[in-house]
Amino acid sequence: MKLINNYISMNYTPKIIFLKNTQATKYLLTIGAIVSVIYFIFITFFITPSNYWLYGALIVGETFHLWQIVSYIITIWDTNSKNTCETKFQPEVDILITVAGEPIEIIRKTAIAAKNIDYPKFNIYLLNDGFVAKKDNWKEVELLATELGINCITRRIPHGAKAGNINNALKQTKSKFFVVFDADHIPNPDFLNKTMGYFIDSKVAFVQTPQYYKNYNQNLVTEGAWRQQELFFGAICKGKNSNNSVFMCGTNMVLRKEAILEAGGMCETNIAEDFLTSLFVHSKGWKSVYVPEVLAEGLAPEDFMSYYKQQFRWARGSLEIIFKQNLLFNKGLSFIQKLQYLASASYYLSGIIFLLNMALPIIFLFTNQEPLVNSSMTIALVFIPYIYLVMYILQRSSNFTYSFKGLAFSMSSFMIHIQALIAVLSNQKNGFSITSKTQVSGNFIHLNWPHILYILTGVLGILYYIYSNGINSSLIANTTWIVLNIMIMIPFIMASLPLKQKNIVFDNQKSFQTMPVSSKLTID
Amino acid sequence: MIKYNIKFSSSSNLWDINSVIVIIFATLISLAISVSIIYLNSIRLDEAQSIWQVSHSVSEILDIVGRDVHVPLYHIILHFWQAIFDNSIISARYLSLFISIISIPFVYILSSKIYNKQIGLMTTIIFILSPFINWYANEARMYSLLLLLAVLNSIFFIDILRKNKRISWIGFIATAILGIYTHYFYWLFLLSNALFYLINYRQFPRELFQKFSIVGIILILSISPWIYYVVNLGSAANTKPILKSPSSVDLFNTFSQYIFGFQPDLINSIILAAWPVVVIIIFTSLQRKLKYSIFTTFVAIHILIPIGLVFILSYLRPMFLSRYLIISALFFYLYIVYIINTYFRKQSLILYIGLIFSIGLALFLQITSPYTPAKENFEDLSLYLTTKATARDTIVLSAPFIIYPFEYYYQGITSVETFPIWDRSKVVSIPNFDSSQIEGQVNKIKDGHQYMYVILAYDQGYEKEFKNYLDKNFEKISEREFSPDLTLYQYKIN
Repeated sequence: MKLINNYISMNYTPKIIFLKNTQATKYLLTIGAIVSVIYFIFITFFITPSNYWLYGALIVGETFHLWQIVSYIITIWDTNSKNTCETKFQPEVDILITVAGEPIEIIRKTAIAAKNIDYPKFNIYLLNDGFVAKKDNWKEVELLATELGINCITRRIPHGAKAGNINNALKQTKSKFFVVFDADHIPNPDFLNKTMGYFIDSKVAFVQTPQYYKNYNQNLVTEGAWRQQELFFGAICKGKNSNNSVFMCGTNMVLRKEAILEAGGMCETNIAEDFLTSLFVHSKGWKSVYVPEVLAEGLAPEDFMSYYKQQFRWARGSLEIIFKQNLLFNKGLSFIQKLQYLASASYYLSGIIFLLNMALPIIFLFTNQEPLVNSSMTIALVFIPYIYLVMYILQRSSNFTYSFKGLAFSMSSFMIHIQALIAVLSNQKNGFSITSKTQVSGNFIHLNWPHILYILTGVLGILYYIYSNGINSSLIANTTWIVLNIMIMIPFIMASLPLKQKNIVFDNQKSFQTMPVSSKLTID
Repeated sequence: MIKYNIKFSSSSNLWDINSVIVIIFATLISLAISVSIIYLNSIRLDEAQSIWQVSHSVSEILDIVGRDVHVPLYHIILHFWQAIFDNSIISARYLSLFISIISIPFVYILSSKIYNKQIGLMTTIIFILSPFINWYANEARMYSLLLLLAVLNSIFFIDILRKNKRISWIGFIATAILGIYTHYFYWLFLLSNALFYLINYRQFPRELFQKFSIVGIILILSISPWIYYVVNLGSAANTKPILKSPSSVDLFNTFSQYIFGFQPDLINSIILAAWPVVVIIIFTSLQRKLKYSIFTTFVAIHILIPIGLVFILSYLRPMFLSRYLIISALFFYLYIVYIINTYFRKQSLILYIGLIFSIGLALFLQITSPYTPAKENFEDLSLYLTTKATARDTIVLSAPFIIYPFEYYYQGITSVETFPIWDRSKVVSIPNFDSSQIEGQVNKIKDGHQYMYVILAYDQGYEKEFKNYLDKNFEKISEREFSPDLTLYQYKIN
């Protein structure tokens, strides 16, 4: 990789860089917001509409973009807020490792790492859902627990997926605090020492830490998945922390049992249980804390199908909150918390907006219809500074870690988001599926049929336009937009092809020891 | 020992053997291209005015240039240059070429100091091939001198920020004073330097603020005698085309011209229509750890401030011309190369090849195409009329100031008039157009002549009305376009 800039820090460490120096100046953010509003006003009121349907679609898209930008700026306005932490506060903790058929070696690593946590008093539980999930290795999990001398709770009656698994465990564990790790998230020894101190504030309900993918450079999928995570666990979560609106991310988190029980336990009705549970917890007046330090390392989905399922689950769960929870009229949430939840959930509406935007040039090529009366250079005059500023704010607030690949993956997931939206609106039933921890090899190009269709339609549209109108400036402009859209899709399409593995370099390889201790089996 | 909070790229050892070879080779290419262009193109309006202006004594030059809303350094240099060589347009163009060739190594030094040698070399290659730079490297005007002085001044400015040595200050002040006597727009360049410094002043030693303030005072004192002189002249000569307020198209045309030079309308409209390419560049330039260095701010300010400021101010008084903003062109190339260099090796190689190919093609088209809009083929027009028009005919030029380039070539015996009628021996300024006087002035011109050859160029707002009058009252015999916006009409008037 060639990074010629002399000013680049040579100490680039993916594990920490996205968490540092995320505070963009208030001047930059203010200018960004002002320019975005000016652009919106200009495009809405000062350019004459041409085709009113397309104009309407454009304005819907621009309104959504304005909402996204303004809510993002509000989110990252302060990414440096600090919470009270008392390191001597060290109550007993239960460590819950959720398991549902993951390879036994992965679970072993996590369990051993949990045992190695440096903390006075804690109990480890493997929450074994392998039996109810009909996984072959559920018995092996129990044997592993025995081997490692830790607890195992195996459920026999399925209910509520991962949330149900945790709720079931909460009935059987006694500590006032509990930690949740996914089976593939290996905690650092200092995990509890770095997190428990925040519970000195009796109103803190949970402490969330980043979800870091140590296999981020394994292949195109893991890389794309990580590029999206960086922005979220960097500036966004740090900003949400200052608004007391960080939400749980399902793993690498510590929770106060009392708060969770008061909120009705982990929410079992939503496939993004952590998101909705956070909302209920916040609405009961509890606080949340985000610790911007990688204290556990996990695995990104390693193949395109797993990534697809993971994104679908997140999208569906988030969209359900918009359509099925009365977010705006929730009396327990502050205004800023409502805004934060809405901003996070509405991100998954971007798929339909992206589809609308990218359809416009193709519609023009086939029909000669466009949303605005052609005043291309005037639009460019406003659009270029606007998009430049927005991208720069993204770059700056991610400490210059946000890349085109992250953007491409986010935007190209449009079909996943649309499918999730349809599923929510039509009340389709989708089971909770665990993100695969091992790579499923194969060609998943069929999942990207909309992208392929777009490329083909685009080429066809260009040829049709040349045939019926010849080459002119409108053709060039619309072709360039299509090229941009295709360029955005390319990394996503590439990731869906049979994957080429890169040289895997994990940041923090750990050595694991087998510890011969007694175990206690608990079977539900 | 001064401590800096910012990092500077290493400026030592800029000249290795590879760089020297590339620069020399590129300079030779530039020389070959330029020399061929010098002889190829007809004199243009601005050049004709330069030649006419410098043909006077120094004191007269000061008077003429002062009224022409310019500053006199270039004209005085050209005056003595022509005294040494000859007073032809070719010799005047060689002065610009000479200055432009001198600029090449300094462009390399500046861009290498700002970033690194690789970016320096690529920027220099783009600079050499640029149709825009080539155009003004071969024009008998002050723009190549303006660019050279800006490049030198920037080098001294960066050296001041880095080393704060006396020699850098001397160079900085000298080039700044020469610059403000080369073109008024040099002040915009200095303003950009000042703005860059003020934005980042905390990162530099405090003593620099004092010194820059003193330099500012020196510059104001240096230009004061000229300002006093111009104010005392009382009035502008009004011998230039009237400019219109710029539109967004003009703004983007400027950037398009920086890269692709002057292209026919069809090609230009296609280039402008591809503006979403900028969005592609913005998106794809999202690179991990691509931090904007302090000197990227320096580059960006030198692009955005002059262009933005002139664009806005032009709504008060139109003055938006890409050539006035030639300094920003260099920084624009530097920025493009910087962005391309941030891509991965293969991608940047493809982009470089694409860019160089596009610029090379644009240069070729600009040189060879008769439809290049900036071309003014007064030479063929004058030669045509020299053979075609007789003593019984009359030639009418509108706008009146195109008489300068026409006269340069015209050797015929036909009487030459302007519309509106302008007696240069009596009044310096061109008379304003008055539609009620069309009939009277045309009658005055046509008296005793058989054919009227009307040359229309540089529409000053009355061209259409004038032509409509002629079409309505006389029989049009022929029409011929010699270059874009330079058309000859023949009317039978008696």
